[in-house]
Parts: sequence; C-alpha cells; structure tokens
Amino acid sequence: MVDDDNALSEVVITGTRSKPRTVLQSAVPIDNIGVKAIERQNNGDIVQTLKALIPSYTSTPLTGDGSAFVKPTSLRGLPPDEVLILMNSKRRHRSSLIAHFGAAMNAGSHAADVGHIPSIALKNIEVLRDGAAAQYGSDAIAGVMNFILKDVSSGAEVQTQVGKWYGRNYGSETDYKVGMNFGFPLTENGFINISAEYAFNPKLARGNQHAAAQAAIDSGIEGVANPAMNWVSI
Amino acid sequence: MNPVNESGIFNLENNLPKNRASLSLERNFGKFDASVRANYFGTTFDERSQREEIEARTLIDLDFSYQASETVQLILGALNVFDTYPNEVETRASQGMPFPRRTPIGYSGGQVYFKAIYKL
Repeated sequence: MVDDDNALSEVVITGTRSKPRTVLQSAVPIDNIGVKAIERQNNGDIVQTLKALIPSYTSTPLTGDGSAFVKPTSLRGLPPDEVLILMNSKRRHRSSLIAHFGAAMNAGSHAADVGHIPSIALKNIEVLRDGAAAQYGSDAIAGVMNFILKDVSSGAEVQTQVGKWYGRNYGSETDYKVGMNFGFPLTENGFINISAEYAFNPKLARGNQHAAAQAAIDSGIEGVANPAMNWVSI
Repeated sequence: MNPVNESGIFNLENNLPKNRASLSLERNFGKFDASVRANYFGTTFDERSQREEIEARTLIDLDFSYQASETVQLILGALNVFDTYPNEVETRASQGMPFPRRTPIGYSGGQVYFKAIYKL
C-alpha cells in the first residue's frame, strides 16, 4: 500500500506524539494507503475505496433514511462514531445525521461523513486499525482514520472517470465523476491547494417489482411505476 | 429495565461478519500496472426476526493502469468482476427486495470503469 514514487511517503503521523514513524516501526498497526492505490479505484464515493482496501472496514448499503447518504461504516464491527476521523491530523466535524437504520451497531450513532471527502484532494490515508483511546480520547475506540490532503504548491491535475454497472433485471446504470486539483505558491513559504469534484452516482435497481404495485397495475390502475421498489445507492 | 433486548444483542453480534479478509496482488510491467484483489466477507445474519443466514462471499476486483505519457495515465478496472450477489432471503421479498439489506457484501453487483488522469 505504499506509494513507491517517493520513499518519504512511508512516513506516517497517526498514533504518535513524537516525530513521524514509518509503518514498520510504529507501535500500533497502521495501514498507509498511498495516492496510487486511491487513484486506481473507481471512487465515486471514498467509502467504496476504503472498503476495498482495508480488511477491517465495512460499509453496508441502505435504502432507507439518511443512512443511504451518510454510510453506516465500521472499523472492526464497532459503531461509525467510535472511529476518529481526522483531516490533516485535526478532528473532522460530524455529520448532521443521527443514524437510525443500519446494522445494529449503527443505531443512534453520530458519525463524520467520510463519503463527502473528495478523493482527488487526498495525498494518502492513514488508518490506525486498533483502539487508540489512550492517545486520542474516547472517540477513537475503534481506531483512527487520518485523511492527509495534497499540499503541492505547483501543478494541476484533472481526473475523469466513468463506470458502468452490470445491472440486474432493469438494465445497467452509469456513474461518472470529474475532479480537478490545482496548487499555487503563496509567497515563498506557503501554498494554496484547491480541489473540486463533481460525482454522479445513479440509483440502482436491484430488487423486483413491489407486489402491491404489480397488483395495482393488474387491477387496471394507470400511472404505477414499473419497477416500484426499494432503490439502492452504492 | 434492560435497554438492550435479546434480539438487539443478537444483531450487534451478527449483523457484521466475524471474519473478513483481503488479499491483493500487484505487479508492475514497465508502463503497465496490474492488480487483482479478493475481498472475503464471512457469514452474517439478516437483521430481522427471521434471522436468515447470509452466506460468505468473495468479491474479486481487477485493475490495469497504463502510463500513456509523462502526463497521462489511463486506468481500466472492474469492481466485483464476477457480479457476485449475496444469497436471497425471504424477509422483505414480498416488498420486492430479495437481498438482505444490511450486508457488507453489498447488493449493487459488479461494475467496470474507465478512468483518465492528467497531471501537469
């Protein structure tokens, strides 16, 4: 998982109060996900990328309430609000959703919305996949995810992606995303780095026509959708 | 009063898999990079009272990357390349939902994607 462009990228800063350590020397288990691994994923939503790359991380899809948008994620089966989400090693704010649905551990949890983080803005992701409450406080019971943003003061980057779902029964769906990242110097000692991203994730039809809707159609009522079902987002 | 009943405890313990594994292979061939990844999800149980078993699944992802020039990188990949779904359950079938809703396997099926990256 280490970006081999640059030997320095192995230095991680999560879970330590002293100078940065490499993954091998760290006293705590840390996954360091480099920019190359992030780039090669179809990350319509960064949660998808994390789920593919981190074994201890799960995310369950939902069709109901706000959890369809703020995904019920989990490190090691613990609630999403027990994972500390850091952005450049500072605490990320929580979303406005107090989850009601989801796997049982999600009920009542109030987590940061990881899915809102644009993947093009990321330099790497450090995941401390063990309890780190002694260092960070009780919001790090399940672990820490530290999203490190790009900090280059020059250059430009454009990413475009298009994905085609295989689909099931009701045709296939297309998702796409465009993103841009620019770096500018700010005097000799600073930088401005700007990222912008637009993503479209379609609703996916993975169920069957609702029996009640079919009954309505059969009885001659017009204007009933086919399919009428619980839709899913990734 | 007991704030967590028996079914709540069962769900907390069984909605997410006890075993989860991920195996990635990555290989570089000059301008090409190829990777294949297997994600294993162990057995879980659906959240409703019927407690239907959701069997273990392994999802396979592939991606190929080609460095076309100094500035351009092209990526072709597939998520869940064999279009694997969880087993169907009865709980919500009458409402048209054949799959368990709260499985980390997901039931969106497979996808192929193409990606172009331009770096100046």
